[in-house]
Amino acid sequence: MKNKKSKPVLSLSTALFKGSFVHNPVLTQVIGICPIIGAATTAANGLCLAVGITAVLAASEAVTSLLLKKLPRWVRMAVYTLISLSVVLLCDRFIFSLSADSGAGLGIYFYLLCVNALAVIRCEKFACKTTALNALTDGVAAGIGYGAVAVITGAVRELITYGTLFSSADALSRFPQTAMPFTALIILGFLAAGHKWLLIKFYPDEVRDTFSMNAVNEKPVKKDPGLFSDKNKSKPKVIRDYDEAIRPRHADRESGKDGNGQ
Amino acid sequence: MTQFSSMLTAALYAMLVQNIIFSTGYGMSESIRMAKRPKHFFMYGGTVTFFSLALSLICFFLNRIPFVFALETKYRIALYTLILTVLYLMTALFCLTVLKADKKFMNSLGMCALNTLIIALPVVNFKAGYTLAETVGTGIGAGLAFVLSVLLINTGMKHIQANRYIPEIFRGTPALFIYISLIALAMSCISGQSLFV
Repeated sequence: MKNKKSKPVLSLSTALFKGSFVHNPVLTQVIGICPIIGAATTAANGLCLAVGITAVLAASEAVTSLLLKKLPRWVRMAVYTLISLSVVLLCDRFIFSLSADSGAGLGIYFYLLCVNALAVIRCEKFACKTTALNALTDGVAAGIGYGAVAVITGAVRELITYGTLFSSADALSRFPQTAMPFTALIILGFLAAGHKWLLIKFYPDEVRDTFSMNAVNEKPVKKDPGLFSDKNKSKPKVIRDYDEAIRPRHADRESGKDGNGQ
Repeated sequence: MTQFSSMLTAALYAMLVQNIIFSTGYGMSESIRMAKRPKHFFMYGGTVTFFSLALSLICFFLNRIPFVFALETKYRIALYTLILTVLYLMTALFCLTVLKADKKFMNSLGMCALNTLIIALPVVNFKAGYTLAETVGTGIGAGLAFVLSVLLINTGMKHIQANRYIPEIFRGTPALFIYISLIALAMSCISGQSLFV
């Protein structure tokens, strides 16, 4: 039985743009954010992460599409890890050969790219079902999108901490706490909001919160009208209890009795 | 008794005082993804605890070999990753053949096993020079920290979804990022880190 090969529907530039910007893996799907939170403390570190993740994604997706389609999923996941590990160790040699300082602040986060969830998800959702060229394009696009977010987050943190850009090696730290995860998460929050605004303005058809909150609906909380809303006064949260409390009185009035049922 | 108390201290430290997920970011995206499926999070939490404890223990004994003890960080992580991959494959095989696990569980097993939290934990233990009791404590504490983070994120998601007063561009993912950042900030303060030195 012949495999049904999917043909590329989008042009290369459109596929790259959509994969990196419109369906950005970090800002819309919140995948693989650990290295960005922990290691993107300077623009240079962000760039190292960008190179690493792009190489990991491109290699894993291409190999998956070429060789791993027939393996069971639980075996494929182990193979992704091994492919990513090899690529990360190769990239490490490349990055550290550029200069001794490059990637110095990455710590163990760079090597943790070998178990990054993004590679697994892209391989499972896309590379397994398409041709090698499409898979490679998707890997590069997702890597560029992830890398762009890493570089921007690193640059903003570097500006706040050192007041420099791509030259933090000799600079004095003014606010070292920006290396803590909460700063990266705040920056990511505002980046995600900016990204959504751009999508609403230029690509309204593409606006869908892929990180769907509908899945959380198993036990939804009651809609909160807000602390300062007028609706709080007219329709308080206990309105049903209130209704239930006064209903017998109305019934009593209609039947000619007073409020005490007499 | 001393061993037990140091194990308990390490577990509580990893879970509550300096929650390993919020203070380092390890396993953050897995927590967020699992928070979307709160029905199964005890099962996921248990699986994560199993892998974190098992890998921490294996690596603790492995570090006693002089060759492994002297390894560079990158080769150490590579070795731990290989061990974790083998451990994952053995567990998956056991679940498939003996426990007859369903497809849904098998799909999530990889996510529970092969993530940054599990790999980073033995490295953290090695750098901190933890004893066996403390290693067991951090292994269990990391799993519990994962469960706690899933619970906190899930609660936040529900409230964010219900709140109609969030501006449109901040609804969904942006609001979630900021909510998690506030929890991370709170966790940093609980651990005694000063923001203004």
